[in-house]
Amino acid sequence: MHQRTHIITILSAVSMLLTQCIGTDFVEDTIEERIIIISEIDMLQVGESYQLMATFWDNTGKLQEVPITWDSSDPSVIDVEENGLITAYQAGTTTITAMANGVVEELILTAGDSTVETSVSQRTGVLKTGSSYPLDGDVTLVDLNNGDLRLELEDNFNTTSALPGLFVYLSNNPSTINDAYEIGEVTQFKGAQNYNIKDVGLNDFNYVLFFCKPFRVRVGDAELD
Amino acid sequence: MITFNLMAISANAGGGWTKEKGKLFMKISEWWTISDQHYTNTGGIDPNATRSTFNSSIYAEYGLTDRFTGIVYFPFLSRTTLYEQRSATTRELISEGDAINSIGDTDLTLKYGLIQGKPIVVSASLILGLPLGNNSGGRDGSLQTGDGEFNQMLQIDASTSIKAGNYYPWFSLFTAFNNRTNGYSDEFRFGVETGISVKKWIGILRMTGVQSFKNGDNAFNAIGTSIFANNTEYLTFSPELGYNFSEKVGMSVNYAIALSGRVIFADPAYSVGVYFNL
Repeated sequence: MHQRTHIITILSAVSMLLTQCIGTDFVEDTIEERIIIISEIDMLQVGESYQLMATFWDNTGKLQEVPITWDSSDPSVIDVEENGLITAYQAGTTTITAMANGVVEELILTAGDSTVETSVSQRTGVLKTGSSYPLDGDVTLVDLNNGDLRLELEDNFNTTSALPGLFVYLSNNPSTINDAYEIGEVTQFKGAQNYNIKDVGLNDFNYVLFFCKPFRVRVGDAELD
Repeated sequence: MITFNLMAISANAGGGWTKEKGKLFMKISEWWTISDQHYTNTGGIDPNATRSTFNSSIYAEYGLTDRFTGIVYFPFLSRTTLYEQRSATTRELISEGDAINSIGDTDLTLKYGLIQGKPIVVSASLILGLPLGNNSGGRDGSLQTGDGEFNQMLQIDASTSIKAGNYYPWFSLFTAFNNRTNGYSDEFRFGVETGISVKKWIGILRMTGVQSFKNGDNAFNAIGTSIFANNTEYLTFSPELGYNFSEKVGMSVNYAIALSGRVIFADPAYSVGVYFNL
């Protein structure tokens, strides 16, 4: 009886211990910091000015407000002020750099006899799996010019139906859905399909991410150009 | 839901043998697994957010007659948790953890000794899996203590014991067909076991396997991709060690690992238990 009492006590204690904890997973979500220069021109007319913008994304993919340092490789062609305002002085080509926190991004611009705008209305990417689950195909993020976007998965899109709750996101970190924009659940696992996205800008996110939402399993992603 | 039963039952008369009339074998166990990786549907191993399941259960075999044995497996406390996720870079909370507690899916079995008292004994069992657990718990419905389906399994066990010096090791094998409902695929199950008693010690080795017929719903949207998933397949190896304090009371520890699998956790399961022969 004494032995049995000890055994039951031990089992009860073990049972209580084992039923207590919700543990913590640490997600390896460090990525390279990056700067993106936002420009909608290919060529600037001599004598004209244009405002460049730059965004800085930290090592977890979050947008940070940091001072940007601008420079021009040939200020006699196009010079750039501290706030990113460029002015074309003579025909030619120059490289504009934006720098912050040791991260540098470059933009090659030409000065000429007219200002040529780029109509950046879409961004593309190629899906690649980051797991044992298949994921491939081409993606296009289209600006509908009304504040909304459309995500187009092309005809070569292929993934698996084996994962329950497979969702597609727009994200700035391919390793996590933290701060990501949930587009919706994937219900068609092969072939062309579209997803409408409301109130998101074309340059707000840099990755299309596929994630098994309930089990937090990363399937793969496409980095947008 | 019979997965837990395969992992939890141990150190009992089992196999092709039935209990003598009026005899009772009872075991109180704690079974658990903590897993941060799983076998994918193609057999690879991928990471996942850590999930744990703890089952406190009672297992009992009772000899209704010398040929009929009634068996109950009842997880009276089943706890499933999902770990919280934090950024390794900033320690910021990414997603909250979650947990549910409930009773778990329960098995009722009626076992009949087809061939008894011979060198090779054979029995047939009808196992009913009662969906008493929670199949959609937690904030997002992904935590489960049961699969939500009523299944019926027909199992045939065959066993023999041989004399090896002063010892009597036994060998058992079983095969079963598991008829599942609610869109789950039916299953073929099989296993082999060998064991030996040396003085107060009992050593057991088991291999058990499950093959899915993949005849369930194609677009299976149930969230279970853990031990309650659809189209789960596995081959597990499970050693167990028991110690008899007396003729009536003993204790056992068990370890189980999937050597291969599909749509199942890829980390070991453990159990400890106290058993009584009454």
